[in-house]
This record gives sequence, C-alpha cells and structure tokens, in this order.
Amino acid sequence: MPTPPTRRDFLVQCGGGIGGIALLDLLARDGLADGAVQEAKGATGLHHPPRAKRVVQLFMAGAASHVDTFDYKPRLERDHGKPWDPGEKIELFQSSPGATMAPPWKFKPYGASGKHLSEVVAPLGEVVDEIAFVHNVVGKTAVHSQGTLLQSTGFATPGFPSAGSWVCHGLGSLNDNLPAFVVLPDHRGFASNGTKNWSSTFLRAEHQGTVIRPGSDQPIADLFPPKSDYITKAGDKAGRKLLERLNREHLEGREGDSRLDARIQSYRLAASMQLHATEALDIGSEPEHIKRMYGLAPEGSKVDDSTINDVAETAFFGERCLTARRLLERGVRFVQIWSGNDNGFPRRNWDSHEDIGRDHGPLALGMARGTAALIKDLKQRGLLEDTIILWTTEFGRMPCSQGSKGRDHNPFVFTNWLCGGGIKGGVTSGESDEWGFRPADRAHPTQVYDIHATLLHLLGIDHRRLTVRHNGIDRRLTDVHGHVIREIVA
Amino acid sequence: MTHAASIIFLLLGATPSEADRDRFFEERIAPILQRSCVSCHSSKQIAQASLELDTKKGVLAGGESGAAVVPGDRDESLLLAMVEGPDPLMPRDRPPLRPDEVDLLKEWIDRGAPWPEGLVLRDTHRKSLDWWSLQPLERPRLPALSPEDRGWARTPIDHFILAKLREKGLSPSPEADRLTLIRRLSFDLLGLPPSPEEVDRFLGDPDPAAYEKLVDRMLDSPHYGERWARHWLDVVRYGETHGYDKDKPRPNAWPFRDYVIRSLNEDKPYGRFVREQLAGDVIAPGDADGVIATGFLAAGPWDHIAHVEVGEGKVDGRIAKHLDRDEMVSTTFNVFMSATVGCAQCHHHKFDPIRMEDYYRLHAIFAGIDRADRPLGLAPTNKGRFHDIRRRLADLGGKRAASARKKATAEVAKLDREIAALRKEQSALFSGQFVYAAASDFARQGRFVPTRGKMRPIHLLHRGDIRSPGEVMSPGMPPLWEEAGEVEIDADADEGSRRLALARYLTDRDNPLTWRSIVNRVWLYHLGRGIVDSPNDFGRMGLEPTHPALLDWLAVEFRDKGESLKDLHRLIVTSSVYRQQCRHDPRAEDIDKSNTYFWRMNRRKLEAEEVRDAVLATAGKLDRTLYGPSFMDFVVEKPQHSPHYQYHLHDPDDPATHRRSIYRFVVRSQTQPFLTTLDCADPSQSVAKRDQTTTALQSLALLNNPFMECMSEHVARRVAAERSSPRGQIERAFRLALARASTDSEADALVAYANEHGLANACRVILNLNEFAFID
Repeated sequence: MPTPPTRRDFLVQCGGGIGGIALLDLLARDGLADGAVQEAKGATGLHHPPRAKRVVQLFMAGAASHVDTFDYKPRLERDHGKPWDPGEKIELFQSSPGATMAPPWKFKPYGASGKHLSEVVAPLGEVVDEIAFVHNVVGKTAVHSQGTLLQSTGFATPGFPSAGSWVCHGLGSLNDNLPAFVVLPDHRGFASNGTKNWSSTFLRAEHQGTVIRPGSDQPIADLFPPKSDYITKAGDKAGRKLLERLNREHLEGREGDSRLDARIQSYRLAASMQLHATEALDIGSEPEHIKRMYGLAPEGSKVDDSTINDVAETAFFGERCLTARRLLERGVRFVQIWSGNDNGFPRRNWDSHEDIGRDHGPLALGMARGTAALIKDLKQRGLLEDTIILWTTEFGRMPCSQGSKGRDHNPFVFTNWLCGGGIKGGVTSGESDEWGFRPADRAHPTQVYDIHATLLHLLGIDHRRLTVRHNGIDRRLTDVHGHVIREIVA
Repeated sequence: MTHAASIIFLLLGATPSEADRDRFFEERIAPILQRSCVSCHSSKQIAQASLELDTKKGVLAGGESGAAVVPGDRDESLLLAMVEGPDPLMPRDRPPLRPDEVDLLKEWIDRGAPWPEGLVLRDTHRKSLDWWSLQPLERPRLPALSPEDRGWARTPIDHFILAKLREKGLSPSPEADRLTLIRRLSFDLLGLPPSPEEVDRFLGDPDPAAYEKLVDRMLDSPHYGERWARHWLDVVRYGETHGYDKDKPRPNAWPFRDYVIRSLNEDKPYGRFVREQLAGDVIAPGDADGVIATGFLAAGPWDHIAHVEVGEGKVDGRIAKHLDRDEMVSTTFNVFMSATVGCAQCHHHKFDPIRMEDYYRLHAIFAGIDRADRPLGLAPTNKGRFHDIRRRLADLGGKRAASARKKATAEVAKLDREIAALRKEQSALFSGQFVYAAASDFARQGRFVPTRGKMRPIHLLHRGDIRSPGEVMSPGMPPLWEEAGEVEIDADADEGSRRLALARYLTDRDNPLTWRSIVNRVWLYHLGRGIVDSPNDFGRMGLEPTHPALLDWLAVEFRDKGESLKDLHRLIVTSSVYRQQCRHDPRAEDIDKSNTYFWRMNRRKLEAEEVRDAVLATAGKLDRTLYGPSFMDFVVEKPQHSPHYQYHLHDPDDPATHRRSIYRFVVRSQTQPFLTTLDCADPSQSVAKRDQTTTALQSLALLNNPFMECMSEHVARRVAAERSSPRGQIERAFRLALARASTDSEADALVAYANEHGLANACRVILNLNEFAFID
C-alpha cells in the first residue's frame, strides 16, 4: 500500500495550501510568465512583506448613510429644512431631491484624533483612533445590485469572484479544519445578489465563501447528518473506516492519480471539521464579560425583533462579530459579516427611504456595539495588528430628504473605513463636500479598486499581479484600476 | 492621403519655422507614437497607467509615474527611459523601438517637443489576422503511419493522435475492457449509469461490432439530448431567475432548455442550431421553435430594478441597458466563436484584431431587443392548419373587397362572419404559452418599455462610459478573416435583419472560428481536455492547439459532412484514442504528465448533475419523463419582494423532484447548495469547462445532505425488495451503482457492516465510494 501523503501534500494538491506555497502553486497553475513565478519564490512567496494575514469585511446591506454616522456635515444641521441646491441637476433613484435634512442624531468629537461621530455609532468612539476613514468613495450607479457587487467583487455585473475568494486564492488557508472564507449572513435573508457576493466564480470552488449560521442545528450546510431513522454515531464512524478501506483497495493500480487519494483525505478532513467547527462556534463557552461586551442576548438569535429595536440588532450583529473573532483565532482567513437582508419590508436593512431614525437607529447602534467589541477584543488578544477590518456598504444616502424622514441613494459619495493590520489609525483620507453629496475634490475620488488594492497590498499582494486568465482576459480583483491609498497605510 | 500628410496640408499656412517643427513631428514622431503607444495610452480609452500619449497635454502631464516628456530635458523625460535600452519596458507585447526611432524621440525632446496645436493622434494599429485560429480552414492530409501502427488506428482521428504520440516518444494505452467502456460511454453520452441489463447485454454480445451497436443505441436514446444539453446550457449561461436584486423567477425560460434537448436529439445541423439561437424568429416566423431558440440571447442575468424601476429615462437605467447589451455581445462571441470582444468596450482589444468600433457595431445589432416573455407562437403540429387558414383568409379578403366595391352588403356581412371565425380558429392554434426570449414587443413592465423594433442609437463610448458618447455606430461585424465579405449592415436595416446578418456571419462556411470552436468543445467533453484547452478563447490570450491538424480535420469534416453532432460523437467515441485504459505509466508521465497527447484516457470525476442523477437511478427513484416545466427543489418564501429560495425546507423524498437534474429550476442568487458544492456551473457567465475540485465540504455533502440520506435508504429498500440474501443485496447495489459485481472481500466487509449498522448505512458507503464518483 502506498504511503498516504502528508496533510501538507494534500492541501497543496487541492490548491488550498499554506501561505506562499499556495500562491506559488496558483501562479504556476494559472500560467503566469515564468518571471512572475520566479519573482514569487521569495522567502515568503508573497510580492512583498505583509502587514496583515486576515480580513473581516463588514457589509451594511441596503446602503448605509454616511452623513448620519461617520461623515460629519454641520451644514446639514444649519440648513435643515431649507431647499437643497447643489447647483446641478441630479437624478435620484426613487425621488426628486427634497429639502436639506439634518441627521436625527448629534455628532461630537472622540479620541485623541477628535474625529466627529454620530451618537448612533458612539460605541465606536472608544476605538476611533484605530480607524482610518475614507469619505470620498464613489460608486457607479444607484442600483443596489450593481453597487453591492461592485463592493463585494470589484465588478458591477455578476460572474466575478468575491474579494474574499481572491484573497484565499492568493494566500490559501491558515488552517486545516475550517473553511478559509466564511460568510456570516443576516439570518433574516441574503442581501442583493445573494450568494453572488461570496461566489468564487472562475476561481476554484474551494475559494467560495462558506455560509456559517451560528446557533443553528447545521451551522455549516451538511456538517452533520440530518434527522435520520438509521444514521448513528457508531455507524458513521465504522462507515468511514470501511469507506476508506474500500477506497484504498480501489486505489490499487490507480496510484498515479492523486485526486483519488485527495478524496480519501477529504473524508478525514470532513470528520475533523465536524469537531473543530463545533468547538469554534461554541460561543456559549465564552465568559460572561465577553458576551456582555458584544451585547449578546440570553435568548440568542431568538430575541424579539417584531418591531425593529437596538437590543435585537445588537444581539444579532454581536453574535456574528464574536463568532468572527473565534474563527479568526482559529485561522479563518476572510470573514464577511452582513448587517441587513434583502431590501424588503419591514425594513431589516439599511435602505432607509422612509425613515432614517427608525431603521438606521437600531441597525447602526447594533453594528457599532458589535464592531467596537470586535476591535477591542482583537486588540487585547494581539490579533488586531495583523487583521484588517473593512467597513463598507453599496453606496451612501443623500443629504436631502425623501418624504420627510428618509433619504434616497447616493452613489456620488459615501464612506468606507478600515482599521487593524498596517492601517494608520485616527486619520481621514479623502473628504466629501460640505453636504456629503460628492467628493470635495471631484477629480480625485476614491474607488472600490483603491480600497481593494490597499487591502491586497497590506496582505503582501500587488493587486496588479494577482491575475487569473478567464475566457481570454487576465482578470484581477481591481480590473484595470486601483491605487494603494498611501495616506492610510501605517 | 495619409493622416500625417493631411495635417501637413492643413498647416501650410503656418510660419515656416513652426511648420517645419510641426512637419518634423508629424512625419517622424507621430508614426512612432501612433504605431507603438497610442493603442494603450489614449485619452479616448481607459489609459494604461493614466498616461495619455495622443495629446500634447497628456504627454506633458504624464501619468502615474510623472511627466512623460519634459521639453528640452532628455533625462527627465520618462518616455525615453521606458523605450530605451536592451530590454525596454515599453512597448509591452510589441516589438521594441528601433535605435534610430529612439534617437528621433531624443531629437524631438531636444527640440522642445513640438506638437501641432490641437492635434490628437489616432491609433493606427489593428492586430494582425496572422494567428492560428484565424487561418482559413483546409482539410489536412492524414499523417502516415507505420504498418503495425495502422492496426491501432480505427478512424482518421487515430492517425493524428498516434502520429503525435510517436513524435513525442509515447505509446497508446491498451483498450479498456467492456465493463469500463460501457460505464464510460453511458455517463458520457447519457449522463446516467448503465442498467445491469444493458451491461449484461453488451458483455454477452458476441458481435465484433457490439461496441458500435452500443454507441448507436445510446445516441438514439432521448437521454442523449438531456446529457448534452447540460453542456450547452453551461456554455450559454442558462438560468431561470433574473439574478441581481430581487432575483425574480422566469417561469417561461424552460422552453429554451427543451429546445436545446430536442435539437440535439433530432441532430439538427449545427449551423441551423446557431442561426436559430440568434434569429430563429426571423428565419422561421410563426414557428414556435424559432422564437424559443432566441432564449439563448435572453438566458443571462438581467437587472430587474434598473430596467423596471429606474428605466432608460435615467442615466442609471441607460448604464444598465448598455451592460445588458454588452452581456449579449460578449456571450455571443464567447459561445459561438471562442472569441473575446468585451475588452473592446473601453479600448481596442490588446491582443486580438477587435477594435472599439467593431465592438460598438455589434451593440448596434442588438439595439432594438430586450429580454422578456413573448408568445410562443405555433405548436409544430398546428403549422399546416395555420397556413391553410392564412391562404383562405387572403382569398376571402379579396372577395370581401370585391363585394364591398359592389356594395353587396349581405355578402360582405357573410364574409366578415367567415373571416372572424377563421381568425378565431387561427389564434386558438397558438399555444398560449410564453417563452422568455429576445423580444422587441412585449407587455410593458413599469419603466421597461418595448422598442417595437425602433433602434436605440448606439454611440461609440469613450472609455466605455455612457456619459462620453462618440460618433453614432452603424451595425456590423468585425472582419476577422480575409474573405469575410459583407460585414457591414445597412444602417437602416430593421431589428431582425441585423440579427440575421450576424447569424449568417457566425455560420459562414469560411468563418475560421465557429467550426473549430464547436468540434473542440465536443472533443473536450469526450476526452476531458480540449485540443485547445481554453475553449472560450481562441485568441492570443488563449492556449494553442496541441493537435492543430486534428482540430482542422475535425472542423472541416464536421462542416462539410452535414454539421451533424451525432456523427461527430460517433467518430470520436469509436476511435481507439477514446477506448484506451486510464493507465498509470511512470515513463509516459515523465514525458507528458498532464496527458496532453492522449497516451491514455483521462479519468473523469462525475459532474454535480451526474452524481445526483446516478444516485436517483441507483435508488430506482429516477423519473425519466422528458421535457416540460422545471421542478423546484426549494420552497419560496416572501415572493412579493425578493423571493427567498429555501432549499433546506424542501423534502428530498418528494417524487415531483426526482426528475433528471437538467429539469431543475436554476436560481441565480441562491444556487442549489448541494450541486454548487459539487462544482456545478455558475449560471452568471459562460462556463466552458467545469472545475473538478476535492474538498471536505463535498465529503460532508455526500454523507450528510438530506437528499443523500434519503436516497441511501431507498437504495437499501430497492435491493432488499429485489434480493433476499444480504450478500445478494450488496451484490445488487454494486451492480446498480458501479455496473459491476462486488468482490468477495468487498461483499464480506459490507455484509458485516450492514448486519451491525443496517443496509441503508451500507448503501450510503457505496454511494460515497471513489469508484462511484470517478469514471475510468
């Protein structure tokens, strides 16, 4: 009988390998010029020394308002109720521009940096000096689906890999027992485009995001057998042993085909994942003060949200943040956390056409509590220094009102922020204009390509060189664009 | 008159010294920049490195790295640094500048870099047609083989294969045994495991032509069309929801899926199959199949919100419409010609002879259509009666006019009654069924309004931005081969004629890409590797053929002998190259590890749908009903706004969902989790080749997915009903799942396991075997 390959062999064969090895393997497989492969054969296998190893992407589905949260515009308070005249004709998604509208919340300065935040995200005040804000991000259209895809995949049309897939394709997995790219969706539904926001499309299937639903019977699809009249633990254990024996017999005479052996290993890995995922997702084992810090509710995800409220929103988002921390600790490479479902009613999403105060209020407070806890917790564990947190949304909302209390879509400018590994905290790069309507410097906005280029840069990857040829085009996360935002790199 | 000369002519009025300086630029410098720089660095396109070398302003402003030219200062002029030296960085992918050209640039900079006021340079470069896939198709001669090798070669294909193997110092593998062959062939042609009865019949057939007879039987099976339609639906990115936001269902998409299955089963000539998908409604008006076939154009994703809620009255709506047309244009060229044209949206194709103008001319072809439900038209069986009535109506119309002239009121009234009755009967001949297809006339939905054949104006868009429109483009096709003939379409041509012209171009006998493309796809599915292993791209970014002569021979043979896919299958699967073993041979692997030259058969992992269908077949649960509306293996919640497609609420034991996977309702935003884990194609973009990955999540799915749990139990019930002894039951399960009997050692182990843990668990082990998942 042949010697079974080591786990490392297996991972490399399956393309999900470790750090530089995976990158090298993939660069070679994707048929890059020899020069590029040669280049990648540095000590780390990366394009340059990395500042971070892991990423958390926080996605506010439905379009979170920048002017009500992170981008302080005194002019809106001053001109509240007055006609809003930006000096140009604009087409909004649903409405005609209403009067200038002040945020329902007050802003005040926080931290040594004195950054103004809205009271609805006040919990982030404690960590504001860790954060670099980018207030001049521009989108391409005011359509949710395209905006969401643009932020999640770098393209406005479906069919392109998620940023998380690209990162895992480039860097491989940090662990053997959990998926490299995990998605924690809002349990009330997927955002616009659904699973397309974490699809691997033309990258290999192992780089697609794996949905984890903490607290459910099957936190990962098919992790455990379904309710069954005949499946037992003992039967499963003996069955796997028998399966491996029969598969090894089948292998005789077929030794040259490493896929057969890889498949035998994959059953061992599956068993191992059952154990490790269960342990990783056991947030019940966390001490009380940690649960409190994340704002968890005793009834878990069963907490009542028949009327939107901040206790429930905090519990939901906090559970995802705490789950993310546990996964990051155990070597998950990329975690995508969603706040908000599809843009339906009653609003459990950020698409506040009707009432910013009613819907943004609980969502923003819940998000801020969970996120602040995550940042502090990662920091106290020494993980923040090599974990990047990216806060994003598909676009912002207008400085003028829709109806009397809502805001329409604003793809002309909105906010992203980053913190953690390699990010310079307490800075703002790129301002919006006095209303938060367009970039202050319209000729030099920030685009999603720049955000993604910066993300990859911090992970040790040159965004221009991580390419995969697909249907005749060398595809990149950043298409043909992107500049690293030097001002926010420490 | 050349462009430079025309400028000189215009500038004759300038002062002599200025005119001299300008002439120097136009005659000596402009040609260099136009040939070597401007196609990537232009203000008309997305400029590489933000550098624009087509205007004076751009040259002085420079790009990301600083000024390209500092007049009078060679050292500070980055342009020189980029093009100078033994291994210059620029121009990329083109020959370096000659030393005398570099000297001219230096002289120009020394002279203060003069540039005639307002002059914008034009890219004069069109990529050459000198590329293998654009060469005319000619039938190559068969390679000569030695007398002993001639015994191995069964078909002309084998001549090409064996000659190449010999050239590489390789030998073919021995022929696989009949058991291996029938399992291979059955999954390949039908996507299903062979029944134990079919296996017995083949193994016991003394006829030396037993294999050829088996091939014929399988090609005659209607399940052939189901299996091969799956390949085609992957390539044409077929889905049954819109995708994007709200992801509404398309309840009338399935007739296109049935059209593909039916066309394959009928062995429709390929050229006709292609033409129908582009313009079936124009070729055969009134014929249901003609309309359904254009479901191809509509098969991709569609942005409901941007079309219905925003609409073309707004910029966002027009952007969405542009992207929608781009999707049709790019997919059409990917699918039928293995060519990429999408890059020319923002700049001339960097590698292939597709210019921006070509790309926007293609947009103009689709300027009048959208994706929508349209009436299906006539059922084929009603066609005769429909035309009888049509002739009768014409006749009656004449009579009525004559009577009306004679003021014979009673006669007119009688004729009117007759006409009305016939009209009523005629309209009843239409099925009432709709199909989601290319449409210019359909029921308005919100701001989504039919064009009714009126063409949207198509502009060339600078940098692909609809806010920067250039000149209006008339429809046409890229001149991709020397004898391409008429590639211009009359600017006044109506909507249908535009698509028809494109359909004819795609299936032109001399089109060098179409015929190569399809035979390569078929080869890839049979052999596991394409002759060109980038099946959607035969351009300079794609791979080159490993067997160019074989590819050309197949393309010519296919084109000139009736364009029959079934003949092509027969030719390939009866060849010796296809019948080889999946042999392990370290010596051959040293020479050709990835089996590029086909010295053995490639072992193949079952595709997601094959796994599901084979499990159902093994369990005796497969419903083999052909055609019809799709089954849904999910529960829809909250359909009013954004439907939630809830797969986990579905009961896997529901017999309505036990049909073949080709009939599954394909949702875009929430893909079927079990099949997605098993590398099912993503329906957002053309998928030319499935992934074959191995992950822990696949193992978990095959062990624990409720479908697998349920079907393992059904396998157990079936074999328990069909065999009484435990050994007989295991034996039967093996024959159903793997087409072979179990060995003694396998049977002993599984019987012992079944005694302790139950037969269902033993069957679950069998469905998880490597041998079940792979085809030798």
